[in-house]
Amino acid sequence: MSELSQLLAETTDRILARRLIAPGIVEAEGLCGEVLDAGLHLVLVAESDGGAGGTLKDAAAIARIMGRHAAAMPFAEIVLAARMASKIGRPELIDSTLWAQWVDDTAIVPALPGLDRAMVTDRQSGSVWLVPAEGEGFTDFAGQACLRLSHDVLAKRGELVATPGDGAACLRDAMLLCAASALGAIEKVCDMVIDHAGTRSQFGRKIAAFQAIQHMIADIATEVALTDATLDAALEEDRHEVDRRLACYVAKLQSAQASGIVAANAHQIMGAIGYTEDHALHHFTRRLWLWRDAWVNEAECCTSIASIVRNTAPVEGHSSGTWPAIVQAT
Amino acid sequence: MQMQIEPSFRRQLLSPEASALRDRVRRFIADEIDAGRIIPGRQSWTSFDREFSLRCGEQGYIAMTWPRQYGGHEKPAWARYVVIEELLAGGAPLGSHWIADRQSGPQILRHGSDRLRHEILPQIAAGRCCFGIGMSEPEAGSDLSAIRTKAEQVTGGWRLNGRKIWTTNGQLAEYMIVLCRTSPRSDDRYAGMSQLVVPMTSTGVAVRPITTMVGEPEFAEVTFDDVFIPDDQLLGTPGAGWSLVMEELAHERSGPDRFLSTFSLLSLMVAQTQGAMADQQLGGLIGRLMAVRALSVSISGRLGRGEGVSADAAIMKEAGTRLEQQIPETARHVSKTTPISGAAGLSGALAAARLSAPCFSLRGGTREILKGIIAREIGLR
Repeated sequence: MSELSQLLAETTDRILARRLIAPGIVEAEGLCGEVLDAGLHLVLVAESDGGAGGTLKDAAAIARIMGRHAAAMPFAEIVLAARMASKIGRPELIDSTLWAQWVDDTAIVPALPGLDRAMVTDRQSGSVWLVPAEGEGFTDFAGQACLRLSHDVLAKRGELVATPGDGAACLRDAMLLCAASALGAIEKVCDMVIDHAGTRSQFGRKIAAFQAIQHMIADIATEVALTDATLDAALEEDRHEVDRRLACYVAKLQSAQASGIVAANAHQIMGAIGYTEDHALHHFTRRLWLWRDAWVNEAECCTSIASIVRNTAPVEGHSSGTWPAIVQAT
Repeated sequence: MQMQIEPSFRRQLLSPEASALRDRVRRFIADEIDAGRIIPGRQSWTSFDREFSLRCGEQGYIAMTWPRQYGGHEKPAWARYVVIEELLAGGAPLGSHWIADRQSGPQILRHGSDRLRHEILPQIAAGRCCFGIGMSEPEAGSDLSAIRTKAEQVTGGWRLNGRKIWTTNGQLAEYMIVLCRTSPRSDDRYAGMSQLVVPMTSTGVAVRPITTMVGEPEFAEVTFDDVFIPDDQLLGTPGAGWSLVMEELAHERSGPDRFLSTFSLLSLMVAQTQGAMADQQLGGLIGRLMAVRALSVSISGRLGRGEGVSADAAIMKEAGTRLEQQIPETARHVSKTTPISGAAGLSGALAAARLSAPCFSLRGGTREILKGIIAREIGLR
């Protein structure tokens, strides 16, 4: 971990730890404002614009800690918009813009005070437009207020801020930050179930003594280790463009599959208490279920992986390009 | 002062040197396929082919990291990783040297007598020497502490009696490393066991081949009737065999042979199927395979730095073998083929993968044993 990563990670941890309202539950109200005040959203912004000039690895380290607290914080949305604002020479947009995500045929952004602009990638051309963050409100799967950008706003298109490649690269980075948050969350859930199984007794013994429980927790640990390894591989910068794309879909897919398995097993192990609002698991599960389908869902990850692999030329001795694709992107 | 930081294992695997080595192995595989000696999807790392192993020996693909004085090539760990994963992904028949190269040779190198090292290691490196793993017994599968095979101390060595079973390629092996009791079972059930290097030509060794679901006699039952083994063929110190077994298993569990056993079938599916349904399923399998490989690469890096990896090694084998078993099942959903043993293309590859798959989650520690190890390592029991 770089010195910068270390510093940012400590700041993130400190902010979140201060906001605990119950074991494992972070107060969401005002969190975004505090993150902005601390400047965590400047991690990818150039130093000349007052940013940290960090890498995606540095941002992922913060996202992972936010995940460990299941923080209700649209981190990728703010960080990627801030980076773009700095890149296009519009530093005045840094503190007030969100990167929008597409869901079916609408673009959505979190509804947050002071963040009144959105950057939207045009799905046909890949160009990025700056529009007002206006539209109909709704609550996302984890209970946070969001906006569906209105069709009027999207039709007018606003101001063109970036060209095709930038939109695709940002989506890729959003997927990785999302995967990093999911990794943090499943790591924490893994700790929670180990602790619970070692404390809770039924039938006169700790439930950790039951093989069925041990195996469910082993499955959780398996998903954590695999997600950690794929994310680490996807954050490797020294790769060709197509290999980075493939590694990124794999990391998002693995984190999504892991989120499903970990949540299901954890609820089974925790019993009724984890299902209630009183327990942290409830909040972690909602986040995991939100993140696993965010930006690019499992179905699209699978299709994209297959498509990249099918377009990779076979090498000597192989009937398809599967093997060279795998080797270059892990 | 500038510190020289060694590039990560992953970076080493992506280096130009590694790419050049990959190309060389791929050329070798392609030549073998052209000559009809490799049929992708029909062979694996347990398929015995002495001639193929001899050619691997000539290429320097065995004993890659061992010292030159024992026939090795003193290559870095990343070079061995590249070669073995390319051979595995290419569907090569590696059974004649695989176990010797992966675990028996390294075991002898670390714990064998000088005579054993000089006599046996160059033979392995040349591809002339097959090893069997003498662990399982009729009454000792997952619970190795229950073994009954025993060796009594006699003048100049040990007298071995007992029976081993389900030994891969036991009937074709030159040697077996036999786990046996050298003192009776006590409160510490893992104490008092030793590992002996047993030449299969020794007087008193009898072998019965056992046919598996694959339809080949790829297992054997081996009985030892008053077999004399000289002192310097005991590995390590008498009674400390269990720690050697554990060390061996860590290496046995985290390599690419634990996720590439049915890779040729997956590659054939990509080449020969199409459509949205196939893309969904194949994309999922490939994604998972890349996740397991990423973990394997990370473990190899940590092994090289001398760090403990036992939880992750068990995790990798469990996830890898589950994936290997999923591949033939998925083939039944994305193609209209029917498994026919010995047939060309997808059909024959599916038959071979389907029939060998049950063994993947048994050998080298069953799925349930591995999950127990994972649970223990993360602090559950």
